[in-house]
Amino acid sequence: MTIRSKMMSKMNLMQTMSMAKPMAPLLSGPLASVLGPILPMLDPIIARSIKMMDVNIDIEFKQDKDLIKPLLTVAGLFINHYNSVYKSEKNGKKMIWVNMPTPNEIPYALGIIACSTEVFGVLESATGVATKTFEGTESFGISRDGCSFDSHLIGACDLGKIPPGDAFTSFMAAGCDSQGEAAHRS
Amino acid sequence: MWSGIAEGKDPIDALAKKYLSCVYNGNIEKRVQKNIDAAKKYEVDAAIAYLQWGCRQSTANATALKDAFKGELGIPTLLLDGDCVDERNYASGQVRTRVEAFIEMLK
Repeated sequence: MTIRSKMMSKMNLMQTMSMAKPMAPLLSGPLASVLGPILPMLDPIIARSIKMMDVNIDIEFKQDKDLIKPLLTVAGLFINHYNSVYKSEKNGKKMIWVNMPTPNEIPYALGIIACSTEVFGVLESATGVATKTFEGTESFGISRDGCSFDSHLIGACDLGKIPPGDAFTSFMAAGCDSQGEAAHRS
Repeated sequence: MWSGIAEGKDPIDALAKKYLSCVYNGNIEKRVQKNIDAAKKYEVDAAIAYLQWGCRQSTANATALKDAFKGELGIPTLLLDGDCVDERNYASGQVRTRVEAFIEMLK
């Protein structure tokens, strides 16, 4: 068993995905076939977002399917992305870590899965489990006074929540140079 | 905010041009101008600039943006602090109060 396989065994995200049952379709056409199985997973994300915004928005979101479509589409894209990351080894694909400014077109053109590491923290935050990961980070002596994306990533690595990549790229075109520690720990 | 990829050209060159068009690549003046252009296009009456305190460098343009919106377009800007990753840095009550006060000011 490889290190990544051991780490994957600790992940409950895929278990959650496999247990998710399709709900009544909100969408139609090809989009429905893609998003249908993952809609139950999106519920807590949407509910949490609504809770953080305003109760009144809850009613509008449920009534206006046109408004909810883009949200579901984006959430579905993120979930599909991490699904491909977690399954990369099983599917015989190389997987590399990339940071936000990395031109992902290049690894994908080479048939390599590009794992967007920063967004993983946003997903955990949306589902309400990021705080425990941050507490893990801080237990290693990492200050809170830094990049929250990569602080989260350090904890996620050490807690075995995200699989280590076969390589790591970091583009610093946006002045972002904080991923060194996270890469070192992967 | 982003340009498309030009087809039929050298792919690396086309990619470089696309990524250089991103507002976060380049100086603050370029980032502010893109926001001014978008505000004019959509005819906005006010702006809310979300400052992601988990990414300090991305918040560096806040006051420049606020000044430009006021000076060039005459519209107010609310600078709203938050953290989309570490929810411990987010106070929902405070955010709600500030947004409500801003909307009240616009009426």
